[in-house]
Amino acid sequence: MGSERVLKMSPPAAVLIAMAILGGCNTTSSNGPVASAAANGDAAIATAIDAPPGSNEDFIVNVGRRVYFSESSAELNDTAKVTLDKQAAWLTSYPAYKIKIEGFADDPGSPDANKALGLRRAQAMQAYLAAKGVSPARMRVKSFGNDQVRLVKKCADISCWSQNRRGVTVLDTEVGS
Amino acid sequence: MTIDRRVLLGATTAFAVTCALPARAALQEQDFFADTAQDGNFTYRRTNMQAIDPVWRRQLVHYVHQEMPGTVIVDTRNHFLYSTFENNTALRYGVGVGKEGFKWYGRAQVDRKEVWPAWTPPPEMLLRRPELPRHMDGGPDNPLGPRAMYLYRDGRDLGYRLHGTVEPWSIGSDVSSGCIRLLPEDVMDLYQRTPIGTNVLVLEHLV
Repeated sequence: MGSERVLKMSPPAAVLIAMAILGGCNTTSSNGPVASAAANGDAAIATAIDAPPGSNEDFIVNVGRRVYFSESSAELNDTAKVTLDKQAAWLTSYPAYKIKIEGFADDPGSPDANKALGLRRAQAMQAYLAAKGVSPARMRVKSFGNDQVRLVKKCADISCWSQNRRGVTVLDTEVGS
Repeated sequence: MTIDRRVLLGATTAFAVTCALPARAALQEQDFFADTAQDGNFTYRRTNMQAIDPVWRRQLVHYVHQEMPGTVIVDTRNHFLYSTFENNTALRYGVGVGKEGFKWYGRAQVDRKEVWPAWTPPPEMLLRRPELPRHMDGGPDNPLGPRAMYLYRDGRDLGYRLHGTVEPWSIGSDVSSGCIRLLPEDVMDLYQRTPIGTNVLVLEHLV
């Protein structure tokens, strides 16, 4: 299983998919009318994926799995702490879950340096959650560094690096180490 | 739970209801607010989510698009904002779109974020509404609400923002002023998911 859990789709048969066919990136170019179902107001509105309380989807929608880091840093900023506070509260409400904290990087330096940075990020998150009352026995950490397969976005600027420099708290219901 | 009309008491913002729905009793302004909550130094009014049409509530959706994951996509015509993840999923928020929100489309980057942002009405808005203050500090009466994310392109502020609102009934509508507004709870949530450098694509719309 990959690092992102596959989302459960809602039970009814048809899942409507909102197609967004984009008319190009250049604000000044004219590509004609956007040939998108969404643009004419008759969009097939995407069916929501259910997020019942205590589910993985609930954790994603109402808490947030990710925190983000500045370049070459494993420091938790105020925004990250807000998310981690919410995670700690949710995990306290649903004590059956264990978590795997995954650290990632897309920072200057070698793959080994990125791997170490990813680990420091995950450890910082783990320490913060422990201080907020999440039992260490429920947590484990893993670093993927700048593993290219796991980049959220791949390009050579901050629009991508910002998405990749992250820590993800993944719910893990497996019994064992 | 659908709403076909919202009656505003003493409101100064005009808006249009964009969908035709069966007639229901009109909701009043106060019906859209629930209790109060604390955020930082401020107390703000939380939204009564029961008054909000379910289509505008924050939800996880399957969303096929041609951007890379980690891009925020704004569909002004349909009043949605998508925070995209991998595997063609996204968190979809309902938005209200102000006049300034329709002035521009294309690709930008979040170069600045503020908590309880201050607000300086743009000159053309002051011309239309001279009673507005020249500058307003951040707080629960500020129309930008608890968070703002500022869109830049090549280091230049586009004047385009993703922000909150003090008029929760306006979500899903076109409104006379502002850019892209979200419910206060939703803009606070989006703020957590949108690091500096996030790419934003505002879909082309018919102006």
